[in-house]
Amino acid sequence: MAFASLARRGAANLLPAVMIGLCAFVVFGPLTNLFLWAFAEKWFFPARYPTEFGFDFWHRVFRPRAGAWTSLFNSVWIALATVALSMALAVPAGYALARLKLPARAAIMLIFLLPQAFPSLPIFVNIAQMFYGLGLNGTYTGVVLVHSLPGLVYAVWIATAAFSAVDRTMEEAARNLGAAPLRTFRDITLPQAFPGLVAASIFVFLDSIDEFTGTFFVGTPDITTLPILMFNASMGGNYQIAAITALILLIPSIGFMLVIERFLKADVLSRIGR
Amino acid sequence: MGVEALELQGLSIRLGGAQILHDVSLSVPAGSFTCLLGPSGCGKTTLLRSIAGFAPPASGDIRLGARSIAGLPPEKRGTAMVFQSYALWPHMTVAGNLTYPLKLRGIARAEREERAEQMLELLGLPGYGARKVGSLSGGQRQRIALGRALIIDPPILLLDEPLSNLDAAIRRNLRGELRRLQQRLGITTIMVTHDQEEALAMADTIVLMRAGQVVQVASPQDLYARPADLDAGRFLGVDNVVAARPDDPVAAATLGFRSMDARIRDTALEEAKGNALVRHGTVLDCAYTGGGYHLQLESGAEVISAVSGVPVAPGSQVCVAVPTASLMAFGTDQRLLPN
Repeated sequence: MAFASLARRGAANLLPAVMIGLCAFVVFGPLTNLFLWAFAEKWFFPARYPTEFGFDFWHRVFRPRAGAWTSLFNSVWIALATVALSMALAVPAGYALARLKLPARAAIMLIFLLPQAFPSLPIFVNIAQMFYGLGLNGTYTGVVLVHSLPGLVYAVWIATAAFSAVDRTMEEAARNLGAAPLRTFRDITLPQAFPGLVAASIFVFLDSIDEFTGTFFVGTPDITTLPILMFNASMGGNYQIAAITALILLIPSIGFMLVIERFLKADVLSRIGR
Repeated sequence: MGVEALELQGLSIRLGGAQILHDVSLSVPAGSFTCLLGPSGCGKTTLLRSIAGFAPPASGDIRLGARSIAGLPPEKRGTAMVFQSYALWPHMTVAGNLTYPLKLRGIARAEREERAEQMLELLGLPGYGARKVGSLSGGQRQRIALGRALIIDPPILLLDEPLSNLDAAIRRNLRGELRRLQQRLGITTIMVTHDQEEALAMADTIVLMRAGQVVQVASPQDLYARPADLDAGRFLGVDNVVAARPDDPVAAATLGFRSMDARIRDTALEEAKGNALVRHGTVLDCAYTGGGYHLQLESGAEVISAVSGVPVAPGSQVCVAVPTASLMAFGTDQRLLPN
């Protein structure tokens, strides 16, 4: 009797444990493989694990001529420029949308999502074709523009949520006590929406750091970002270099995840759909 | 800036196709305390917001002292408003909230801080300057919001249901405090409220509003004793309305009175007619209300509420008498008849 109930309890505990284990495997399996590859000196077919570990490929990646540094700087600069452009558009747009009445606001927000709804490949192919005509292919401007397309969606959505969270009467109180509209925006609205805007910037930054398809169509071969470098390396069968590049890509991502955690409050997130 | 009078001339306001205010004219003497009283949705808050510049008038004029302010943006009007939600800025400290209006006026830092400290003193919250707004209680927030409005030394103070978010006990305290502060500063004040008791206790003049129109402008005593019509009376606690009879002391279509003025008499001891309204009825219900008993009695087709010092068993026959002075006579158009 006691054994049967123990077995049942054991089974009840086992199932979640197995599920968690499976999830962990799905999430962390590829990451572990990535780590192994990053430090594998020799890893040939029948061997289950690398036969030799070392930092040899790290030296190769960071050799001046390998292009890793250039790609890293390209990626970061492009991401920062994308953030600047997206936020410059998203702050006024988000504020205007946040102050709109609901039906109109929902419609406009939905329209902003449309580019995300279409498959990205045809969109980028067409953008590349348009950019050829404008001479933007292979330029930083072109890549920043193409990164801003998905970036704007995040930026506008989150900025709208952040501005909606600012109580209208607080602006009215400032106006009432003598602040002109712009001054009110600067002193009252912006500081309160700031955490949300930081979150929006982070999303745009991460999206841009990770962006591949658009960069591939618009930027290459003149502009190489980290994802492009990684793609070239893995297509050439050079898994070590691909893995090391991927690890470098993790640095800004993890850094910004930590910032999000600090800045983004649940009440800002919860207003995104409203 | 000094204290100034406010004058509304034929003010009409539309919001989203709906007419919120119809041709409102009102004059508020300098230094007076005026309450805009009415049920929710009567337009009283819109009227206050239009004075502050947040509801553009469709027609009419708003004059503060000698100048017209109807066309000015809110920041140029100099009207100081206390919002129902207080609208304190959470990203600033208490002192930051108080000094911001002064900063906007280009006053030097040292003077700003000194004036904030004086204001905190006046509000009975000395030393609270460095606190976060979030750490204050409701009553403290209310005072800071008031202080933030008063610190600019405004010609007029606008209060939008300033006490409605507070507990009953704090509300009563602050009511007196606010009134004393207003009298001490002698500032022209307009307060919006839906609480008739609050309006009666605080105001010099009450403006009774209904459906976007001013129904009556009167002192608390006049308004209480002589509401302009039946609806106004009901809003001011006239809970009994009976059809008048020929032998009643006052000639009217209907007579109104408050249940606290309707005393139960023994049926045997009938009051001499002529100086009181008298009705006979059957007690439906008798509830203890602390100081006495509240009765509902059926008199013909009418139900009358009355008070009694002693309990009365339901079903017993009683007589209720209301002194003539407590009666309000309304005509067939439901308007109060002149005496």
